Amino acid sequence: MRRVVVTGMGIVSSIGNSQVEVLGALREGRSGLEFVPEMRELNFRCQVAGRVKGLEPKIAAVGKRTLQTMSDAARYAAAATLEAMEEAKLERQMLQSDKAGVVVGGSFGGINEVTKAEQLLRQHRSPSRLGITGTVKIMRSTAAGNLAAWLGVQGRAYAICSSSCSGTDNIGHAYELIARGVLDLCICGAAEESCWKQIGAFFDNWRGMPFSWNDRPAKACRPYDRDREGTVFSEGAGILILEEREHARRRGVVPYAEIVGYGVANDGWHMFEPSGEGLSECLRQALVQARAHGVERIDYVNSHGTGTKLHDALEARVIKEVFGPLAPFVSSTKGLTGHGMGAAGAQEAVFTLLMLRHDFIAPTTNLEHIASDCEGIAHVQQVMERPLASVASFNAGLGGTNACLVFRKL
Amino acid sequence: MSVDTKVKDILLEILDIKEEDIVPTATFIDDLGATSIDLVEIFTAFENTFNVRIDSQAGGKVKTVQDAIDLVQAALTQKGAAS
Repeated sequence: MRRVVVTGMGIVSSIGNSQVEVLGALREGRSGLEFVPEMRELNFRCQVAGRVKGLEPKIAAVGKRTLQTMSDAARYAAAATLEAMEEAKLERQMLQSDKAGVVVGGSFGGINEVTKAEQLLRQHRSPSRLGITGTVKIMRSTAAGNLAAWLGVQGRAYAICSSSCSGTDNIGHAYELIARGVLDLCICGAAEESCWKQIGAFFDNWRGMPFSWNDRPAKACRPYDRDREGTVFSEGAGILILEEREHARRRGVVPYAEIVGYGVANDGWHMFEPSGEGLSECLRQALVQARAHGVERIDYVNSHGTGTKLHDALEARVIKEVFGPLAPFVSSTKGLTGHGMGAAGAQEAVFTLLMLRHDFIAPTTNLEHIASDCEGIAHVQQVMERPLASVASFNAGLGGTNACLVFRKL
Repeated sequence: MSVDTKVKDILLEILDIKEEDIVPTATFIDDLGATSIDLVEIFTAFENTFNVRIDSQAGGKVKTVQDAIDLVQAALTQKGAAS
């Protein structure tokens, strides 16, 4: 199997729309969560969400013609891709090859275009009010398709959709394609646009969203905390440029990390409740692969840590069981950012790589009192400056999905 | 806001053009670079902005900016007569 390196990354999130902005937010604990008046107007119990702000200048750089077929999800992916390509010194003509690919997914595609289309149709009783571009804005592969069309990518271009593991799985799949020799270069990751109106409604009913912190939105998402009440919806995109190591070297680009493990396993159990078996298996797979690359120890794990009662406790138990005495430091960044849904895994891969590169660990924001059912792992509650050599990021999703990536510093 | 101004705003929103490009005699395809997708989006925007129904046959005859303004005016007049 060939070696796969990271040469660029880009981010759009509630805590910032560039590596520099996000780095500052992670270090300083600047929350991306805010009170959303419309949630109150619509009688949600939870009235807090994470929102992307100030992206307009970056979006404009994509170009009006290209933006025409993009909903917010694809726009977030495009903006993040621009940052990643700049860092990787990747020019458009390098992508116009059947050895270059785009594997960028998410959970819901252009979901707000769906809502808009049906509203317009029912209001005016005329399809002519809907135009044409909704088709490609809505489809789950909207980000991948738009990126491929815009950049001229002629290799594989598609989206993987695995609930909250989508980001991790899109990156993991791109890694496998390059390792196997199918591709030499891949833009990968995930994007998700705001979906609290549609999907958040179901979470609110499921009591999966916090309701006691509407007047203190920055405190609402509290992974592993005694007073956690659920997760907060967020949005954005995370994009990595992955390359075969020699391909990067020939281009004269110095990569800063290598993917050394990708574990995936389903619980095969329940659509809502995790069993822990799939998570345990995917972590073990990733660690075995990392060991084969000479990585014996993981210094830090960015966990899924959504702030929900059941899932946080289960993760803490599985982390304890899998890592045993080689316990890494653990934190969840969702306390700061909220849950980026299908984009979360890709955004968190970017956050984790930033920590790896800059040798620090961002804490689990709002972890003020570790819940008794989440004890026994090395929670990080304050920013920790320490050298990092290898890190992991894992996610778990509805439908029993679980996925883990391991990176090592180069 | 006049029909002319709203039509101009729609064209600026959808097409990759400058304000000075929008003259009455400018043709959508050759002068303003509109694609077939752009044209559908433009007529959709006319319907939604002015709350009128644009006849697709009449729309097919539109070549210039002035043709488009005249089409919207006609649709507004028809709507006024019907109500």
